[in-house]
Amino acid sequence: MEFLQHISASFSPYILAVGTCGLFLGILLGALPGLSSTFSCAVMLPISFSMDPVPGLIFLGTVYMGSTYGGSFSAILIKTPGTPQSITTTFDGFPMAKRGEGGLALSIACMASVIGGLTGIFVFLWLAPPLAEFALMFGPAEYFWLALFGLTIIASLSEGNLMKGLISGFFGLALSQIGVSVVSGDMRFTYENSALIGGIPIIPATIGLLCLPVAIDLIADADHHLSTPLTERSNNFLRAARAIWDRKQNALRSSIIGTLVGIIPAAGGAIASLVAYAEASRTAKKSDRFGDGDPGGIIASESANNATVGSGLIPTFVLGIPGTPPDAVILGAMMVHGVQIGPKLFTEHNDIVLTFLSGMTIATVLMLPVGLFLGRFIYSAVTKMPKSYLVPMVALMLVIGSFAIQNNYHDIVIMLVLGIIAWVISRFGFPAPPIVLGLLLGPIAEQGFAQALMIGRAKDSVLEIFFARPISIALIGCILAAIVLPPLLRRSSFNRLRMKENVST
Amino acid sequence: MFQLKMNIAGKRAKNILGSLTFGMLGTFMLYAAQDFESAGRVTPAFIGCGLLFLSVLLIIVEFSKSELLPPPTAITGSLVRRSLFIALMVIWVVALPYLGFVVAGCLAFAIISAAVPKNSNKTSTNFALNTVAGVLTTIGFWVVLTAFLKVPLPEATFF
Repeated sequence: MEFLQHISASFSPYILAVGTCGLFLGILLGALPGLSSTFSCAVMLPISFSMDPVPGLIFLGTVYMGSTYGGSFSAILIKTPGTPQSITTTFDGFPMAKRGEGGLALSIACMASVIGGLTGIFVFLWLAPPLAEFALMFGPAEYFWLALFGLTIIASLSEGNLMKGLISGFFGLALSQIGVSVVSGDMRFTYENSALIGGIPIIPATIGLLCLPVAIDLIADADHHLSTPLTERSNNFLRAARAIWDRKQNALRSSIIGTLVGIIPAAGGAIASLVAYAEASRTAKKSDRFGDGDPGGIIASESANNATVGSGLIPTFVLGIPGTPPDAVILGAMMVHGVQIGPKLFTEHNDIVLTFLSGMTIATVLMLPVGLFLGRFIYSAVTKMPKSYLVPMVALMLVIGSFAIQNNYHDIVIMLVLGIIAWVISRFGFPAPPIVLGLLLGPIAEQGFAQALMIGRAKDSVLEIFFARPISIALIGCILAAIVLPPLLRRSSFNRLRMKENVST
Repeated sequence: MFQLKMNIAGKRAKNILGSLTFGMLGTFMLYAAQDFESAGRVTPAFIGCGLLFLSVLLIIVEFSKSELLPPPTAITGSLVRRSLFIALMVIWVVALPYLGFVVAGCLAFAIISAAVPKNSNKTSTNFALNTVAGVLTTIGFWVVLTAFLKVPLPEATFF
């Protein structure tokens, strides 16, 4: 009831204007490759200081939410994830855009983002304190199993050849070994090159691996970049709504996965969307279409990564531990505004929490018209753009996106080298997306494994650390199910089909 | 029939070459891992073993039932233009620290734009329009990123 009162209070023109501006700026910044949600929030931080605490926090929250969704624009239209959270959106979004359903893909991404965003906020509202305690139960072993679970997605990204997909995944893991070892402090595979000491940065590598091959192929002929069938006009909203309704279980499950992963400190939207995508591809009825333009892939990715926005704030508000990197920026803003963080926040400043959450709720709903409008505008611009302008524009964005995240020239070189490698090996049938997964999840798995091993050795209970904790057992169960179930299901459906054929003949 | 055999041979050669390359990478990782501390050696050695094992497995599968493996994606469109684009990108990235973002960006934009095949005939007016568009876009990005978002883009050191 109290929340409803704050909802009505949040309908003030000022709060609505602040939320809309935050969304608009967030979407535009997130749509630019390389400008992450953390960057977007950090850049907008000074503006929030000029506002009162609640509007300031709503502004930053909506920038975060908008940039998370905005990452899907470039992911869908030019196969360049605007933010790391939208890496999985490229897997199905770009193939949809290629066959002329880019507008539909953007509408689906927008609706899924709203569903995920609202789920995260509502979970925050009702379950913040107990879920914050759950987040603290995640130790190194759980991170290790979580990363392994994320790697099982490789099976659905292998484009018909699992072994080549696995080799690509191992190649990504090999790339993740470059730099200073988090475990031993060794300089691994750097060969006294200072540019490699920090390792292969994920954003420039992702841009190179996924987008440069697209740019290289774009220049090869005079055909249009994306198909634009005449039938696709204004009915994208209804088609997207129907696509989501048909996959409502996927949307709900992915939102819950995003919410749960979001509250784990430092896990973030990229891992949330990977786990949700893996789950969605495994449970889909037509799983063979995942990675080839299935709307379910976009729904899983976008609802999961937006759910982390609200849920990531749970450990931030309750424990003072940021759930995701942009939450660290919001945490800093709260400190500057003099808002005390911790359990007392919910008793002494409950009005701030409730007004903030109600403002975020309204802003999330507002994302629907704002996102759909911007999506339609940008899709139309990209499809009508002549190739002689689009190709150099994409090349320019590749360079900017690689450079902007760390202001480092070497990142552009890394983008270029990995992009050329990705294009060459794709000619040999080795897919690039598993390389990104290996690169992203390799360090998490290695660090989790080494830390858990050290703790286990110190306690003389290595097996217990890895295999006897409840969350670990649940994650191991998920991994086993991910490996064993798909072939079993395939075999059973094949047998059923054969029986049907026998009956008919 | 001969053509089919040639296609299968070509496909097999490509797959084996790819597998051998990754197998060599795996062997190299296994060898290089010996120089690391014991804690830091486990993961690279594991990855090296994985790469080597999968590569050998792929070669075995290739020889046993290659017709079941999907063929590598066929290249459509001009390979020359692709190579030209890669060369232009390399030159652009090398020149970036010397010429700076604006000059290198404008030049690269105009040249890449000219390299794109067009449905209509290329004219000097088209080239001029693309150059102007490139200059405006590059400067627009430069202004937004440096002035509003405070991203310090590379500056020229050559002049």
